[in-house]
Amino acid sequence: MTPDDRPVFSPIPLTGGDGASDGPHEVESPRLGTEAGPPEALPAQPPTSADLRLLRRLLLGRDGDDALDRVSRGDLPTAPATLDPRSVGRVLPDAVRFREAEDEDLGDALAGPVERGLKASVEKNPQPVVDAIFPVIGPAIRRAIRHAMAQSLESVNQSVNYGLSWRGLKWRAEAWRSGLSFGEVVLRHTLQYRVEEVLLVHRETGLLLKHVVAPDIPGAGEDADLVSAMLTAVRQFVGDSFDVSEDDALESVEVGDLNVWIEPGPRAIVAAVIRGHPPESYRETLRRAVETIHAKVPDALTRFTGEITPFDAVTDVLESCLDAAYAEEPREGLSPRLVFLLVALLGALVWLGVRWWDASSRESAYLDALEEAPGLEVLRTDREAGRLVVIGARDPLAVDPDTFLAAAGLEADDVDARWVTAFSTDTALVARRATQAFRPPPSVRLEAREDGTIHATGPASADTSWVTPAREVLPLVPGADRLDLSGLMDDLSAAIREVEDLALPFGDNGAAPPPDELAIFLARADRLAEAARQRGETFVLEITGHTDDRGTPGANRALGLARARAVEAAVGDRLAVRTLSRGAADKLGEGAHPPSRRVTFRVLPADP
Amino acid sequence: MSQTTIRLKVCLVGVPAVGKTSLVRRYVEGTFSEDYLTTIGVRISRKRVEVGGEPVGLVVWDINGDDAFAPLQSTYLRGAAGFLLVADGTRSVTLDRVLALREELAEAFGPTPCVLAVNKDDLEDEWDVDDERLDALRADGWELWRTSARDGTAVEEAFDALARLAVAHARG
Repeated sequence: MTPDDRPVFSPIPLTGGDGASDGPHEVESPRLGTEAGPPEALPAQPPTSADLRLLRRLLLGRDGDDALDRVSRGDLPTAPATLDPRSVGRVLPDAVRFREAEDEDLGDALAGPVERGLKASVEKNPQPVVDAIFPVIGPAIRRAIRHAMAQSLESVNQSVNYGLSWRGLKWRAEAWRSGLSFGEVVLRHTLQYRVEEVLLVHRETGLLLKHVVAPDIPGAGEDADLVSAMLTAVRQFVGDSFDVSEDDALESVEVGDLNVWIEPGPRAIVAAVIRGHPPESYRETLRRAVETIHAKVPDALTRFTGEITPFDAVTDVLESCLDAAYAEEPREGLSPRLVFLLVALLGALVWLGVRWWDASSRESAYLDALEEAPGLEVLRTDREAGRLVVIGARDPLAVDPDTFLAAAGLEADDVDARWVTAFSTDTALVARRATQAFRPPPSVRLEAREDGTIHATGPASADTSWVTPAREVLPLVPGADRLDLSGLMDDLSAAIREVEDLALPFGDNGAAPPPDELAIFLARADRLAEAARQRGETFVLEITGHTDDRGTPGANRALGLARARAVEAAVGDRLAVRTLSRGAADKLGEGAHPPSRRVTFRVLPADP
Repeated sequence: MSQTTIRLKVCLVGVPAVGKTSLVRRYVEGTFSEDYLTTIGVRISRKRVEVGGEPVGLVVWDINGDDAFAPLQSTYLRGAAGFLLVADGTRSVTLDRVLALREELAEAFGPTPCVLAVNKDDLEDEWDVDDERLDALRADGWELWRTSARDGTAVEEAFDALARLAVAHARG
C-alpha cells in the first residue's frame, strides 16, 4: 500500500494495531501520525495541527469517545457506501425507535412492505399466520359480535317476555287441537339437548386425539376413533366436492335425533355428539374450547406424529363441553304464575272471609244482646250500603240499645237502628211499669206473671191506700190485667213464714246447732212470740230433726231427735215446743249429704 | 386391552380390483358400513396392533380405487403415517402402476413408509409377476409381501410391517 491510496483515517490501524484494544485514548494524533508515517510522507500541503483538530472535531464531534467507538466499529457517517449490514443490524432497532419517537414517517414507509410481506407469506403458506392470529382473532370477533348483539338482545328479551303468556296459551290451544297432552306439546317446543360425546380430532390425519363421554351413555365412545376419521373424511369429501375450504365445509351433521357439531381450529377439530337440538350459543362453547386447546397444547398439535398422551392435558377443556344443561324441563301441574294467582286469590278470599266473619260475628253479638235485653224486640235486619239495618220495637223502659254497640265492637255508624215504641210483655218490664203506675209503699214488691197478674207481696201492716187507685189505673197499664193482693200478710203470718222458711244446718254426725244460723232463728222466734202475744194467740213450734241416710234408721232417728232437742233447748221458754225426728225419711240426697242434716220448723196452732 | 398411546393413519392405495378392500376386511376389527365407500370414496377401519410391546391404534383408510388413479389430488391421503401399496399379482401392470404411485406419493407427502402387497397369491395359475422382479424390489429396499386376501396369507404380516415402519417413522 502506498501512502497515496491509503485513507488518512482508515479504521484498520485502530482495530489491527497492537494497542487498539487498550482504549480510545490510543487514537490520539501522535499515534496516528506514527502509524501513518511522518507528516512529510503525506501528500502536498500537509495539514496544520489546527486543521487536524478542526477535521477531528468535524468528524468525531464533541463527544470524542462515542465517536471513536463508532469509528472503531466501522460505522463511519462519512462513508455510507461502505455500510456493513451487521453494523446496520446493530443500530437498526434503536434507529427505528428514535425515528418513531420523532414522527410517523417510518410507519408510513413500512406500511407497504409489511402489507406485501404478509400477503406473500399468506400466499406461500397461510398456516403460520393462521396459527399466530387464531388465538387472538377468535376472542376479538366474539367481542365484536357481543357488542353488536347487545342492542338487539334487549328487544329480543322483551319480545320473549311479552310472548310468554301467549306461548302458554298457544301451546294449550295446540294441545287441545292435536289431542296431545299439554306436557307433550311443551316437550315438543321446549329446547332440550344433551352433549353425549366430545371428540378432539387431528385435522390433517383425522386421528382421534382425545375424547370424553358423558356419564351414563351406554355404548358411547367405543367407535370414537372411527367416527373421528369418518368425520374428517366426510369434511374433506364435502370440501373437495363443493370446492369450499374445509373450515366452511361442514358445521354439523344430523343423524336422527343425534347432531354432530363440528368446530374447526387450525390444527384440530372439536366435534360434539349431541342428542337433541342445542341452542346456537353452544357453538360459542365449542369455539372457545378449540381456542383454549390450541393455546394449551400448541406444540403437541403442530408436531403431532401419533402420540396422543399429551392431549390428556385438555381433557378438562373437552369435559367442559359436555354440556349437561338441559333446556327448560316440561313442568307438570300448575305453572308458578298460576299458582301465584291462585294463592293471591285464595289470600284475598281468606281476607274477605275473615273480615266478613269478624263483622258478622260482631253484628250477631250486637243482635244477640238486643234479643236478650228486656223490652227490645228485633223484628227485621237488613243491609243497606254495607251498614246493618235493625228494625225493632222498643219499650220506653228498656235499656238504650246503643249501649250494646260498644260491647259488640261496633261503631254507631256501622248500624242503622230504627226503633218503634211498643210496650213489652216481658214480666220484668210489666212489673216496673206497674210499680211506676201503682206507686205502692217501698215495703210492697210487685211481680208480674205471664198471665197478666200483678202479684203484690209485703207486710199487711203496710199502707194500703195505694190499692184503690191502682185498681183504677190497672186497665191502662199494658201487660197488667189483674192485681193479686194475697201476698200481703200481717205480722203474725210474716213471722210464721219467717220461721218456717228457715232450716238449721248441722255438721257431720253432730247434734250441735250452728251458732250463727241459730241466732237468726232465735231472733225470728222472738218476733213470732211477740206477734203471737200481741194477737193473744198461742202456737206450738214443731222442731223436726233430720239426718242423711248413712247409718241405721234407728241411729238416724236418734240423731235427728238429738238435733231437734238441741234446738229445743236453745229456744227455751220463748215458745211451746214439740220435737220429733224423721231420721233420713225426708233426706234431700243420697249417702253423705250435708243439706239433709238439718232441723226444720213448723208453727202449729196450739191445741185447744 | 391396554390404553393406546399412539394412533396412526395408514392408507391403502392401488388401482381398482387389486383386492384392497378384501385385504382390509381380512385384517381389521371394526369398520364403517361399506356404503360409505361408494358415497365418499373412502372406507375407514380400525385395528389395534402391538409394535415392540406398545399398543398402537391403526386407522386404515381404504381409498376407492378410482380415486387412486389420481391420488395426489386426494385429500384423504394427507397425514398418513404409512402407505400400503397394493398390486394384483395376476396383472403385472398393476405393479407398475403402484410403483409409479410411490414416486408420486413421495413427491407429494415427503418420505413416508410404504409396504408393498402383491395380492392374489392364491391364484397361482394366473400369477403374472416374476419372482426375480420381486426379489429385485426387495433388494431395492422394498418391504414386500405376497398376500392373499382369500386365504389370509401374509395379510397380518404386511399390515404389521406397515405399522412397525410407520411407528418408527413417526418417532423419527
